Amino acid sequence: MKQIWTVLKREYLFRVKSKAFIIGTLLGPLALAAMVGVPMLLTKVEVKEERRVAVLDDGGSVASALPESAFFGKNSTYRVTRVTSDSTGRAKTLERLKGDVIAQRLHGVLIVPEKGEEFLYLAKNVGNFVEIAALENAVSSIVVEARLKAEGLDPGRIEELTRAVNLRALRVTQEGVREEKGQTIMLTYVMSLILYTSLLIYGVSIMRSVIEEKSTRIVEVLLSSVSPFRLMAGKILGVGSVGLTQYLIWAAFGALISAYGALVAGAFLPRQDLSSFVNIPISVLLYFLLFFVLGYFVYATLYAGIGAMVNSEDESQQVQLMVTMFLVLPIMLTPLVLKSPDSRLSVALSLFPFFSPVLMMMRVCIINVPAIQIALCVGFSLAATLLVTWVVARIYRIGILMYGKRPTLIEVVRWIRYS
Amino acid sequence: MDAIRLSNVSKTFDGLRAVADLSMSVPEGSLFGLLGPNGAGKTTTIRMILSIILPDAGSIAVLGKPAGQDVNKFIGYLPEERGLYRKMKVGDMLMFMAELKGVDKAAGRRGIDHWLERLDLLSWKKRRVEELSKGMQQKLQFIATILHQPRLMILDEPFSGLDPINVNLLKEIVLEMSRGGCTVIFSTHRMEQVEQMCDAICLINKAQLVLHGDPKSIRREYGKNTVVVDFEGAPDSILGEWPGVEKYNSSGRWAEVRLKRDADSREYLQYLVRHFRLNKFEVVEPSLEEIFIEKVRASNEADLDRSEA
Repeated sequence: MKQIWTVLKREYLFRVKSKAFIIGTLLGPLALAAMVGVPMLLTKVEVKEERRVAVLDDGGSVASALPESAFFGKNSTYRVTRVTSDSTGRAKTLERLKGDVIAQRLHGVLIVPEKGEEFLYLAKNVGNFVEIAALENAVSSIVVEARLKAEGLDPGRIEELTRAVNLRALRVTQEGVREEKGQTIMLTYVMSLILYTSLLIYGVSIMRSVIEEKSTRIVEVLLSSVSPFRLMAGKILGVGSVGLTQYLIWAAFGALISAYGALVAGAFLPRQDLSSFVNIPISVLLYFLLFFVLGYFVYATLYAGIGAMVNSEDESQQVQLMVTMFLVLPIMLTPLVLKSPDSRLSVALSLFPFFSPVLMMMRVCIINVPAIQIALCVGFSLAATLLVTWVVARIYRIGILMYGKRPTLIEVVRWIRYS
Repeated sequence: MDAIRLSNVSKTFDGLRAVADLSMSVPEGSLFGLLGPNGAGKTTTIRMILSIILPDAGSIAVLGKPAGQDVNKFIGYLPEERGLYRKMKVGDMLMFMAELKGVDKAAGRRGIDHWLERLDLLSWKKRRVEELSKGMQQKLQFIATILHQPRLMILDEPFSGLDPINVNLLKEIVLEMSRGGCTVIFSTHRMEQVEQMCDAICLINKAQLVLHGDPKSIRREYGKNTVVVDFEGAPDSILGEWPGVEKYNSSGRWAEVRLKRDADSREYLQYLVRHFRLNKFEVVEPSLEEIFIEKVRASNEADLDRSEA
């Protein structure tokens, strides 16, 4: 036990004091904040530049109605001007307008058809689907309104009668009823992605450390003092503690920032209800820790085994792929579980020990998973950990002293049976 | 009591016999030479003594107990392939090694300072291991081997890559520890380095024990029929033209000549005087190296005969 502790302490202190850890811990949240924050900020940035749109409308009914529609209204940066075919004819006028678009005198040209209902929009850039959709909307409502009027109906009255009803989605939990505004899905994604990323990062980090001890030949000295199993256990626990430390620092940061953020926001927007913004249920955080620990042991042990099998990181790529697949698959299965978190398939998948960190985490975020399933999941994961540890300890014991050629799968199986 | 006792130990790797039915013992407190050419099975034997690998058959007792992790804390092992944590600080790394062997913090700190001072590395204590020269790293590894005051030291090629001054320094420390009651095993293929120090040896070749005993009686057994000659004035091939010469081992101006059992060394001297200008002529016991070479050759030939038959 004392030896495991010694190995653990070395791995932990060595890593926590390293520049990589300090930089990663500081930059991690910044990167996350940037990922969330930058797009949000970007949508707030308004283009102040005036955008002139010509409407070729010989009839005039659309062009006159456009400035009233929301998209082209008073606060819009779009300026609509009506154009009619001049004496040279419609085709020639169109050519002239196209020339204006190319010369950037016009942002775009909207062509109202003489017959039929296909409108055309010509612009240098038609990739902005927000703009195109808004334009389509504006034009459609004008046309629909015109149709209604032609039938002698009152558009205002129609709108009133066809107004949609409101549906509020409320989530029922033991703690009460809570309003859902998509933050659950968001939280679910973020949580499972963090889990996935950290399992991968710490797993690979263990593998590297094993390979390093092999390639610097220090392992032989170590094994004259400590058994391979204790060495592996100390390493896995040490690196795991580094992971937990990082989470704690992040959680503290997060709590501080959201508390401060809520305070600031509260001062500016006193009437806004901010509780849903700040509030990550404590149970979700606890589950997160649980699934991190369970998943960590399985994957860290697997990666340690890979490290023992190969001589260099280059060599590890192929074998590593097999393990990484098990981590990537649940991410690919995410939509399935999100759509029906209670289905038999979702339950079965989330109980599979190699998938459960990510998938069970998702399920507890969305629904109340029955206690029996959580218990089963923990049980299966522990059983898988024991099995993996048993197998890998054997591989480790022999592989760690093997240099030279990478062992074949058959050889590895022989190691497992033999020792 | 024996510090180590191997009884009928065998180990095979994927059909390759590394150690075959090896029995030997190392007396407690002795300076023991585990000799053999490269690939003879020395390192495998050592790894089994340390339970790094387990024997297929046979039993090993270390310091009176069955080999295993429990006795390992009394053993200091300097492997041939040196290995250190390159990114760690010298002092931290030594402390880690000491703690793994169960040394407490205070004693560890004292020991580290003492040995770093003694081996002239104290000013490097706070530096990273990778900043040290290769020779310094060798010394560092040696400190890691003795920090926990082992009762048994296993040194695999301990002096390779060191300058003569440091070799002497390490030898001095090893002898000190030996006087303090520590059993020392040198594993090497360079006999001249340990010949004067060892009071017991065993020679392994091709996984098997070839020779076992104390060097003095081994050499005596081979008799006083070896002559050391320092010569000038004629090619060394003439050395062997005398009918009483069994074989000779020459380096151009200096040779070790083995005479046949009934040959008279005085007659050989007369023969030599006729052909050479002699600077030295001495009748000696054969060196371990010579015995070693002969024994290895003999056992290889026996192997060959057996496989042909």
